[in-house]
Amino acid sequence: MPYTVAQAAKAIGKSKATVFRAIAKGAISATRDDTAGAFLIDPAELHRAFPHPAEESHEAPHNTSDGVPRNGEWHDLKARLELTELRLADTQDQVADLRHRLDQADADRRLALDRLAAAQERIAALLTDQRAVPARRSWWRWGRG
Amino acid sequence: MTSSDPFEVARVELVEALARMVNRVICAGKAEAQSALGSIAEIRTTLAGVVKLDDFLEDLNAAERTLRLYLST
Repeated sequence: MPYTVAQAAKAIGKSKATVFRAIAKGAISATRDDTAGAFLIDPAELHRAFPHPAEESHEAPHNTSDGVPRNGEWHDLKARLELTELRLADTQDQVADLRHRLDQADADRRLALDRLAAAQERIAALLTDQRAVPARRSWWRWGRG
Repeated sequence: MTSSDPFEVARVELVEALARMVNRVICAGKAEAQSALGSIAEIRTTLAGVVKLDDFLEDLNAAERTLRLYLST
């Protein structure tokens, strides 16, 4: 039983204007009702161009009777896989970059602490009474060790 | 001490050491105070190559002001 434009729009969850545009662009084929002059659309034809919303993103693609995806679906799956691989590669690059920055920051911090420890030695000597007993305790105790 | 940042710990320790040094120097006399001013200048140079000096500047300036005030009396 063919759909009217209103029924087709309801079936795919879109407006009648969308269905009319699809007919006008040739995305779906439709016949004219001889008496009323209205468009009639075959459900299979409609759902070829407008997959059901639930099937569009979450469900497995339509398969042919032998279980093999149709040619267009192969292309769609391949494109999605390539996109996913690109995103994954991009994410891996970002992780590697962040790991590198973290390592670099860690190395920089260790170097800064080493320099601070060396400065502590010099400053401790400047601040300590040189006339005092030599066996003194450094005023910077935390960095030793 | 609650801070675990080594640089903040160093700053606090430096403040304490500067205070001890200023007190000791004032007790020892003006000759020591003059020498201590030289030490503060050296500390400034040493720290400048290692840390962001702004964090330590106020403390070093305060110690220097105190010594100069003592020398002017």
